[in-house]
Amino acid sequence: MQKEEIIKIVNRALVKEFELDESLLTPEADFVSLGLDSLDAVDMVITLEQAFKVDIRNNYKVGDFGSLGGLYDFIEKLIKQKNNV
Amino acid sequence: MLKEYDSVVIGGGISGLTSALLLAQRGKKTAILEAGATISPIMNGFSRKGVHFETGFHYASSLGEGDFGHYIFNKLGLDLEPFPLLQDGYDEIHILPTGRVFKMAYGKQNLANNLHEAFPEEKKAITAYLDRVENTLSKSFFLNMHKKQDSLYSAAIDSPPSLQEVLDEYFKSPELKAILSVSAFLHGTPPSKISFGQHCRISGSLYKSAWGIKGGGLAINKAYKNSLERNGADIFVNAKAVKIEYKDGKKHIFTDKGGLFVCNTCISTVHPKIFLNIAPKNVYREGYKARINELEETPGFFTLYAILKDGKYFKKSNMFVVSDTNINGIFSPDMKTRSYYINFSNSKPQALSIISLVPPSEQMWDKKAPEYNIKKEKYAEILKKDIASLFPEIADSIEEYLEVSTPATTRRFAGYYSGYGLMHDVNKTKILPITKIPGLYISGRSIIAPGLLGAIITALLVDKIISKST
Ligand SMILES: Cc1cc2nc3c(=O)[nH]c(=O)nc-3n(C[C@H](O)[C@H](O)[C@H](O)COP(=O)(O)OP(=O)(O)OC[C@H]3O[C@@H](n4cnc5c(N)ncnc54)[C@H](O)[C@@H]3O)c2cc1C
Repeated sequence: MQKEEIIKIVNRALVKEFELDESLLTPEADFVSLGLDSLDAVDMVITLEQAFKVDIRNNYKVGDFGSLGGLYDFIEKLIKQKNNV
Repeated sequence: MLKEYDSVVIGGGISGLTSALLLAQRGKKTAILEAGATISPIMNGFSRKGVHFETGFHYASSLGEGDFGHYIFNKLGLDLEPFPLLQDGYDEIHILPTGRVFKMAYGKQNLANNLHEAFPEEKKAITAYLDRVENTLSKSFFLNMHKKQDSLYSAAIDSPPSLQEVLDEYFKSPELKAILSVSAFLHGTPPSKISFGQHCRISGSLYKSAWGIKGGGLAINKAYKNSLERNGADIFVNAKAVKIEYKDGKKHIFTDKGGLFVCNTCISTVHPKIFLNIAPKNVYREGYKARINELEETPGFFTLYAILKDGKYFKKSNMFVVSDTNINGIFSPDMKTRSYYINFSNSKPQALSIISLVPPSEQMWDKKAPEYNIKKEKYAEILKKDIASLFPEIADSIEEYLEVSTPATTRRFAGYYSGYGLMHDVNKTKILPITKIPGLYISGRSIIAPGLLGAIITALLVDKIISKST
């Protein structure tokens, strides 16, 4: 999956499921400034796992991503890992 | 009539009672609002002809000295006396298609021995599997609460793999897989959907030891009532919360009888879908509400109660009977694939409860549903016929069948909706105890785990979150 496609899917989920304003979704944006709290974080992880069919919960370590750009990279990494197995 | 409290707990089931106790123990002025006529109505059971029948509690794990449950009863000031179930067969599993009868023993080595003997060709896998269960339990946040954890929230989300995936990875024999997953009956989520971790905590913990509690559900309610009184919590029964409002940082809770309770901290322990109806509109994002509404309900229970003849007594705890080795099938909506659980009381005369699962699609939640009465008769007949043909020794010992309960009657008499609350489906949204409204929390069997201990554990987690934020 191309990076652009990952970005599109993540952003679409954030707009649709978390009612965020699309114009705020830049790679630098961090989750706190987007108004996402720990409830959203957990919900987002499960929503994105379903969208990408990857296991984020067991692979995530604190500090793996703080910004949206970090999240795109993280998902890209998981998809690559999955395809290599 | 306005009453002010530090904390108000909506729902006086085990989850709510435990939350209220923890708050009161920390000196908070606390009230419990329970819609029913007594606290935790599901635990009351009922008596007929001098015999007591349990409705909400039969057995649990982790109640031995040094175990989590034992520790927590002490901490909560619950004066309860657990007694061990039969070590060499706390559950007796009957696999109808093959005729195999397997006795679940507790104590890891005992269980391993029984399993090795029954499935010698899978000996190595059995040992490895039991190690994995033990390892998973030793790492469980919930059963090791005193240990430090990185994040409370990460403890609340369970993760893949599912139980079915792990069983498929280790074993070949469908019978063996059935034996190790039939206890899905104890949480109501099929093996393909429950996470392996969650299944271990609820059912795998019984591999260590299995316990009853002297006096059963009534004793549990009494112990809670006593401790709550000692700690100064106020219990309001016949008090159904109908609306929660959020005003000036305070939660205003309205009851059906015109009561108004105002508090800083409010914990709802009612079914999450009911909570969505009474909570303020902005309690969650709309997308999250939709995901909660999509969560599946666990099956309800259809139970046939019987009393044994004078002098007849079976030295057994529980039997599981399944007509299919695919345990996922026991959650399917008809009695063609049959599965039921039989509990033998430790009273004399002995009481039998024969409990089968009824998925929501069967529409047994409402007495006015189409064919409700026909189904009720039919299910009872099917179960009675089964007992007569498969277990003649039991059938011959039965003095009489007393009555049946359905999901609708359980709901009416115990305010108890659906068997174990919402399914804990590893691939679906998890409901966390927090909401978008500061000081408003959600707890109960649908949140972390069902069962006596599940409800207690959920309350403990919620309490940790609350005490961190205040
Ligand atoms: C047949 C059966 C057998 C079981 N066997 C076992 C067993 O052997 N071992 C075990 O560990 N567990 C067992 N369980 C499960 C266990 O009983 C429950 O999981 C546990 O009691 C759940 O407690 P809770 O507080 O989360 O839910 P509940 O008991 O459902 O508590 C919610 C309470 O809220 C009240 N309520 C609802 N709406 C409102 C409102 N609007 N306002 C105020 N109050 C409201 C309800 O009346 C109810 O009392 C069994 C359950 C059943 C039904």
